[in-house]
Parts: sequence; C-alpha cells; structure tokens
Amino acid sequence: MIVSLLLRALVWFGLYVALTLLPLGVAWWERPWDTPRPVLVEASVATGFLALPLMIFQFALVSRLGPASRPFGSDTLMQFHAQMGVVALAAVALHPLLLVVEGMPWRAWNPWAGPWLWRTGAVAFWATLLIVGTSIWRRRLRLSYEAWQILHLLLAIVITAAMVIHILAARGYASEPGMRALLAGYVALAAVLLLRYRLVRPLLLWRRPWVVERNEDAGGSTRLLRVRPEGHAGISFEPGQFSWIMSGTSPLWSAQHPISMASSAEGLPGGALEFGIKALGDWSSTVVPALAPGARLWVDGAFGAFTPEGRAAQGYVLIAGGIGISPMRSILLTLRDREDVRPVVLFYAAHDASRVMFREEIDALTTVLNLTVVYVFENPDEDWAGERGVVTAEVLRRHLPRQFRRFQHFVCGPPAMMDALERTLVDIGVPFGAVQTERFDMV
Amino acid sequence: MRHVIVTRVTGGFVVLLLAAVLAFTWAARRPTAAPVLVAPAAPSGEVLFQRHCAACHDPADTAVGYRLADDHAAAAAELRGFLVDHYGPSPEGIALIVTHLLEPPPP
Repeated sequence: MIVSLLLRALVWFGLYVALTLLPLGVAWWERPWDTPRPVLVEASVATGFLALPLMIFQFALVSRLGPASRPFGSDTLMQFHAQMGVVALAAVALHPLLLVVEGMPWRAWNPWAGPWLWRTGAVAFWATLLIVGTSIWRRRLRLSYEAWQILHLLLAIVITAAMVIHILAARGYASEPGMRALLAGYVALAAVLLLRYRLVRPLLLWRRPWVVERNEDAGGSTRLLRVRPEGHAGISFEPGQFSWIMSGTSPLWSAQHPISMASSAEGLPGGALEFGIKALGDWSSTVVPALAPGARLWVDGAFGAFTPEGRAAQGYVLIAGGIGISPMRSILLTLRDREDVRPVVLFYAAHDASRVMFREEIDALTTVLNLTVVYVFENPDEDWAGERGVVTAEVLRRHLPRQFRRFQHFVCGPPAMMDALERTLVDIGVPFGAVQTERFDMV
Repeated sequence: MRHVIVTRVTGGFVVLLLAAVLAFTWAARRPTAAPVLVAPAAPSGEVLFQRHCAACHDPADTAVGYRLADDHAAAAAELRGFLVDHYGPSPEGIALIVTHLLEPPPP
C-alpha cells in the first residue's frame, strides 16, 4: 500500500512539475521574435510564465481532490501550498524587477495609473504580497481565521485574473496560438477547481447534514462533540484522520475548520462521529460551546495521512501534546475495537494534570489494550511522582520497550514540540519513515 | 517527518525553477535552427511598434516630443538610441519604428 501511494505521489508531483513548466516550453517553441532580446527581458518573461501556473495550481493543492490528496496527506499539501505561495511571490516580484533593471520605470508598479499592462502587473504583485503577508502574519495582524479565509479566496481570484489580463495585454508570446490555447486551458482549470471547491462541493454537503447529539466538556478547555448523520450513512475514515467542519446556516458561506476525528474508526451507533475541539480561536471558543443537541452542521471528510493504516509495525508510540490527544484517542479506540494486542506507549504532555483531556477513558484503556501511558507535566503539583518538564530523549528512553525502533511513531501537538520530537526520535534511532506528524498550524 | 520532506522537495523544486528560467533565457535568445525557406514579408514600422512597444507606450505620446523638436535628426538619433537600449529589435526594425513615429500624423 505504501509503495502504491508513493508511486501515485510521484505521478501527481510529476504532473504538477510538468504543467508548471509547460508555459515556458510553449513560449520557447513559439517564440515570435526575429532577433534576440536582452537577457534580462527574457529572464523576466520566464519568471512571469512560471508565476501564472504556480498561482493557478495553488487552487489545485487545496481543493481536496481525493485521488490527488490521498498519497500526500492534506496537511502536507497545505504546507506545500504555503511554501509555493512564497515561491510564487518571488517569481511575481522578480518579473518586474528584472524589467526595472532593463529600463522600465518604477511608476509601472502603480496599480492606479499607466497602461493596462502595467496596472494589471502591479495589481498581481501587490495582491500576491498581501495574500502571502496576511497568511504568514495573520495572528500578528489580528485577522480572524474566518475573515482570512474570505480574504484569501478573493485575493487569489484577483491575482489570477490580473495575471491573465497582464499576459494577454503584453502580447508578444501570448499572441501565439499555442500559448493562447494553453492560457485558456489553465484559466478553465482554475475556474473548474474553484467552482468545484466553493460551490459544487458545499452544495453536495448541504444535502448531507449532521446533527449535534452531545456536546460535553472533555477537560482542558476542550469540547467533545458527538454528531450523527441526518438522512445519510455518514462517512468512513481511518483512525487519525480529520474532517472539515462547517457550522452556521449553510456550508456555502461558512468558514471551514480542520478537526481530527476522536472516535473509533470502527464506528459509533448510527454512524456518529466524535471530535475533540479545543478553545483556540473565535469559532472554537464561542460557537462550538454553544452548539446544543439538535444543532445542524456539515462534515467534509475524511482527509489526512496521519494514520497507522497500511503501515507495517510491531507496535505504536503515540506522543500527544494538548489537543494532539484527539487523533490519538481515535487510534487507541480503534485498536481497542479491533482487539489489537500489539504494544502501545502513549506519552501525553500537558501543562499540568488539570489540562489533561479524556484522562479517565485513557486510564481505562490500559486494562483492555497492551497500553502504557506516560504523563509528562510541565508544571505539576509538588506531589507529582511522574515525569516532569517536556518529552525528551531521556524520557523516551526510560519508557520505550527494547524493540521500539520497529514501532510506528505518531506525534501531534504544538509545532515546536513536533519539531523537537522529530529530531529526537531520529536521534535515538527511529527510522526517518517511521515518524508521522500532523500539522494544521499553517496560518 | 513529512514536513521535512516537503521542505526539501520545495527547495529542490525552486532549484529546478531557477534552472528553467536560465534555460529559457538562453534558449529564447538563440536563433531558430530551422532555415527560413520563404522570406516573410517585411513588417512595417507600425506592426513593429505594436509588437514591441504599444503595450506600454501610446504612439502619439511617444512621438509628439520628437515631432515638435527643432532638430529632427537629433530627435531621431535620440529615439533610435532609446530603442536600442530599451527592448531592442533589429537595426532595420528600429529604423522602421523611428520612421513610423516621426511621420506626421494623417490630416
């Protein structure tokens, strides 16, 4: 299964690379100039022809195309999307900078004046700067996640439209039939992806509502939300995966929140699902606690590659920090329901005992699973006899069984914790491919 | 460790993109390998202006200063120098564009 996923990942990535470079190939094939132009002009053209596909395929990376996202994992695609956004910004900035060196006046950067070629180029540049800036510094700018999602979508549409008009206004390479056909194809692809993601998919979800069955305090500022499908069979998922949750009046205009399933993949009665949602922002702090039984919401899933499914292992090491316990709970409950006898070691890092979620349930699982639980408290009571501080190599060595290098290791928690533990696990001898992490803290 | 792999893949992809920019820049400036069997019709100054300049420059705005100049020969030389430094079509093309711009507008 892993080999098959790897092959599929290579095919999809190969397609991405080929389609990104294709405009350059077509431009070279059709080059309309009878004499060579300055080096910097052609280099500028090249960066421009890379910027457009980079921007258009940004839609594809986050549009939840099942066959394309499964081999990578949605968090991986989101990370690549974020990094390629910066690369696209570099291409969009280099394009006019090279022309400035070649003699183009600085006033060409003004989106309010000048010929349309300059205006649209300037709009594309400033909007790209804005979209990347608001994504990197969203919290510093005090932009809510919901407002950021709307702004992000609008800016992406503005950038793509401005780029296409800019290329057509520049004529030159874009006057040739092959390049025009390619541009038309790319614009059509972006439109289809956008419509599918923002219109068709929400409309389909609208017909498959979910209803809140229970909404209870799970400790540590976390709500355990149980929802059941209304009028449909629900979804199947693998332990550790996540779904996008939308609340409000319609999935068409509701903000979408990635939340890990916390229940067993073997299913709950009536196809119900459970989600652990920690109060971290506007939606999770105010909307989620107010969701009463009977409230309607929508679940788009399942996504993600943070799962033990298809990974050969003699046992599992689960390392959770804070709300990172949510997918671990799903993994543990699934192992319980499947009567799995392999050894499992759970390291659960929290500030103190009062911030531990699902504690009674986790402790009870030690009687039905071959499970060892190690709580690591950063600031425990004085009488705490267990591990203190953070999860370090020494803590791991003290509790891991002799054969831990043949286990699969799952880490979910704050980014700094995951960064440190990824290095630590490899340092103590865990193979690179046996460490899985899940990261949603992209913006 | 997937995020480490992603960062490395991104780094590799950026190197590939830079190589593609360099390769395109080099390839686009090479003369076409195929021999031209039939000489194309010579483009006019107006066609060349449309192709090379019109996206950013209005012909009337571009030419008006030169048409008003006392010394037309000096103005033409200045315009020629500007075109060579700017986006540089062939010398023949430059001559055609200059002629096109300095022609008096039709009555």
